[in-house]
Formats: sequence, structure tokens, C-alpha cells
Amino acid sequence: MTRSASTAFKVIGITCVIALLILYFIIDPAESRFAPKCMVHLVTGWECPGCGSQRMIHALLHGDLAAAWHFNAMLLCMLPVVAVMLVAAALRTRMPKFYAIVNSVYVIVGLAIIIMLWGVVRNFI
Amino acid sequence: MDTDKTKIDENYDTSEKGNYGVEKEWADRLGIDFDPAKIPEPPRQDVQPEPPQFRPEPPKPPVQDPAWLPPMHPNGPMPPTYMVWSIIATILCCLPAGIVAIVYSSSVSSRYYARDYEGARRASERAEIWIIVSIVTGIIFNALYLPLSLLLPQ
Repeated sequence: MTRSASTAFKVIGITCVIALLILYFIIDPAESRFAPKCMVHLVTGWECPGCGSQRMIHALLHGDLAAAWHFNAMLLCMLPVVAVMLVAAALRTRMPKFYAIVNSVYVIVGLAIIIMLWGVVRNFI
Repeated sequence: MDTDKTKIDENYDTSEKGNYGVEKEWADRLGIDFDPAKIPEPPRQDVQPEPPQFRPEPPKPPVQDPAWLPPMHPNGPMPPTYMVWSIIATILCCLPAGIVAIVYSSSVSSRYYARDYEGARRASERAEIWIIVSIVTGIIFNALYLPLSLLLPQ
């Protein structure tokens, strides 16, 4: 990918994220029928690790931390991690060592285990 | 002035006690051990100090990576693991395809650290493919489900 194309991609991505944040501030996913539904939850009836993300983001944008924790506690805790990983991904060529540390096998496997465990545990609590 | 100068010269006895006669006398009076050999030589004024010469800087020792950080490929950084996108695709779009993407993401990292750069690149491409599969599956599912749910009574 050329440099300008990469920049354009990043600009489009940031614009989309801001648009989604505004959308989720206005719309309450718990009330709206147009909010995307979780496939796993509809098919199996179990809560997947990401179920409640939209409601969590809506609650967080309205400053309701308790509700955000209630809807998806793991994702709430993971938001800073995701932010760090996004920064590392954006600066991959400029800071290759930082990227290699953030994306080391331990981190990836650890995150995968946390997500899977959360998917299991949240169905029992 | 002239008389004073000669007086000093007369008092300064160099013949008997050497050049440090006066000092020795005072040291004896004060009870200090006096050894002329210990007196540092005055700096020689006639020698010009060496002009500062340009010296090449000694080569700095290379920055040591911590032991747990494996060697970096000299030709480039780690291929993108798409780890964030794998996680986002897993929890927001389609769980099964997302898990496959996470497995490939970890494979990128482990292969790169094992110096299998070609394998890391391939795993990176597969991770990307599975992320796209996951997102597209989620979008298609919701595109099919939405009209259905609007028809159903709530």
C-alpha cells in the first residue's frame, strides 16, 4: 500500500469511528430494532464474549460506568489495551520493536484466553 | 628598592640547606615533616598546551535488547498480526471465524520470533482473510436477520 493510500485509509477509519460513536450516543441499542444482533446469541442462546458491547458503549458515552460494567465488564477493561494495540498497529513501521513487544505471542495468547474465559464465565454468573 | 632586593638575596641561603632552606626552617619550627621530593613540580610555562585534536568518537556499544525480546528481522518489522482486528471481529462480528483469525495472528508472531519470516507473512495474510470473513459473515447475518425481525411481532 502506498503512503497516501495508507493515510487515506486511516482518515476514513477515524471518520467512521467518530460517526459510530455519535450514532451510539444518540441510539440506545437496547431499544433500537436496527442495532445489529449477535449471531451466536441468537443461534445458541449463550452470551458470547462480545455480547452487550453496543449497550456498553452507549452507557459509557453517557457516563454511566456502572451500567457499562454491567453490560460487558471485560470489554470495558480491555478498552485501554485495544487503544494501545491500535496505536502500535498504526506505528508498526516506525516503531517495530514496540509493535513486536505488544504483539508478542504471550500477549496474543493471553488475550485470547481472557476472551474465551470471559465467554464461559459470563454465562454462569 | 635596590637595597631591599640585595637583603633578601643575602638572607636566602642556598648553599647549605638547598633550595628549600627557608621552607625547611619554618617546617622545623612548626614541627611539620618536610620532604622536598614531595613538592609537585610547577607547570612548565614554555610548553604550549596541545591543541585539541579531532578524535573520532569511540563506537557506541549496540543497545542490547532485553533477553525476552527475540531478534528483529534486519530487513523489516514484523508483518501485521492484525491482532486488534481479530479481537474486534471476534467479539463484535462472528465468533468462530474470529477465533481462527486470532490463531493466525498468534501464528504470525510466533513464526516471526522463530525467524520463519516467510511463514509469518503467509499467516498474516490468512489472518487478514479470516478477519474479512468474520466481518462479512456478521454483516450478511444481520442483513438477513433485520428484515425478518422487523416482520416478527415484538
